[in-house]
Amino acid sequence: MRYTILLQLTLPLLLIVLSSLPGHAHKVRIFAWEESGIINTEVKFSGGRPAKNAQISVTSIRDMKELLTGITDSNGMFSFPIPDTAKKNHYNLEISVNSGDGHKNSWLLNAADYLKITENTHQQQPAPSSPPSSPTSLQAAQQAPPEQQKSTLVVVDQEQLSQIIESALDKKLGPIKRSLAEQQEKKPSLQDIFGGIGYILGLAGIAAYFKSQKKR
Amino acid sequence: MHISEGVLSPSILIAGGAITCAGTAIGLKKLNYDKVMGVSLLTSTFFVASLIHVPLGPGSVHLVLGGLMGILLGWSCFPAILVALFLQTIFFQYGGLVVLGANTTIMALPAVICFYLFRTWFKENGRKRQVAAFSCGFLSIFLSSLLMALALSFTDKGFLQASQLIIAAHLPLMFIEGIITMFTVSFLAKVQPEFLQIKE
Repeated sequence: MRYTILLQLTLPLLLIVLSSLPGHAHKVRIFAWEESGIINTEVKFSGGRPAKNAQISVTSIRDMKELLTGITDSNGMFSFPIPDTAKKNHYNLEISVNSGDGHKNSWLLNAADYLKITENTHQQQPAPSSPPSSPTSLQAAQQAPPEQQKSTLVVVDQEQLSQIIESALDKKLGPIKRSLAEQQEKKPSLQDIFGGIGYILGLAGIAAYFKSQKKR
Repeated sequence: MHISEGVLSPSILIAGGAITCAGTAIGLKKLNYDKVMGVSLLTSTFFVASLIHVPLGPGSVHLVLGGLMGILLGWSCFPAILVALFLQTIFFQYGGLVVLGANTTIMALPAVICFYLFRTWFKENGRKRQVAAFSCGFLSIFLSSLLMALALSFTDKGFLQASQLIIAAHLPLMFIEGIITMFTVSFLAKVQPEFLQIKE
């Protein structure tokens, strides 16, 4: 056969491709997540390398106003505190990146994703020394004999406790939010690859059909 | 190598689309019955080559194989690259449908230029063909980078800055593609010389 050797040539290439599937081609990816009042943005090339010095711009979707811009650091990270106007107006934020070499992408951060937790951290600020004081106040609440004092202390404790849980959860959930955001990116699957090759073979069949009719 | 959607200005998009249309028309006209399967095989190769990732340089690059397409297919690399890029856009979300014409021009035009530059060298056996194959792989990526910088210079930063950035990012790829093209061509010359159209 004329093309058997060519097939033999492309087969190893295909095998290399399939064995190196976790590596993806050139495209810039961006994802953003909120962590205790700060929005973290991470920009990567699709191979997993961080995109350094990429331009980030944050715009509100409602009135397409640019709220702030920035440049990623050597790890492809850019962090910024939630802008006050965005907090006030419950903006949905579009965080877009331009890596300067023709690659552009954006990430949508809904107001619901970053506002709920921030409001709680806002409340936390009046009582900054909550973690160390809470165990003693809990004990005090249990030991205190006058009923009036006890009830007021318990109310404060619940509030503090919820704040402690809130901040601890925030810390623990940060990496999970990040990896969830990372996983939303669709990666090329085996199905896509074989589907594409199938389309190409189909097109070749169509082309061969028309060319063969001409030949007759 | 794939420019994303919303980066280029409309005039560049139209120019790229026009060149792609013309190139594809010529390519389809030159395509004859015997070449159809060869073209489709190389289209598949191009389609999956972008998944081979080269973790070198400041960014990250993937194989393009423009030079190999150019030598083996001539003008027919236009329809081949167009189809492969279209499928990559749909399946892998590389580039975009609106920038398809510009992206095809960026990758296929240098391939055709390389085909005409090195065509005569291919007919001679030995070292000259190897040098020509390496140059084809090398030069096609270099010219593609230049075209890409040119396209970006009308919209983004200046040409000099864009070209520096893009050529620096693709420099390792130029050597890798050169070597891959050289080995593929010398292998084909040994086992399947008629595929290189060097029988005459």
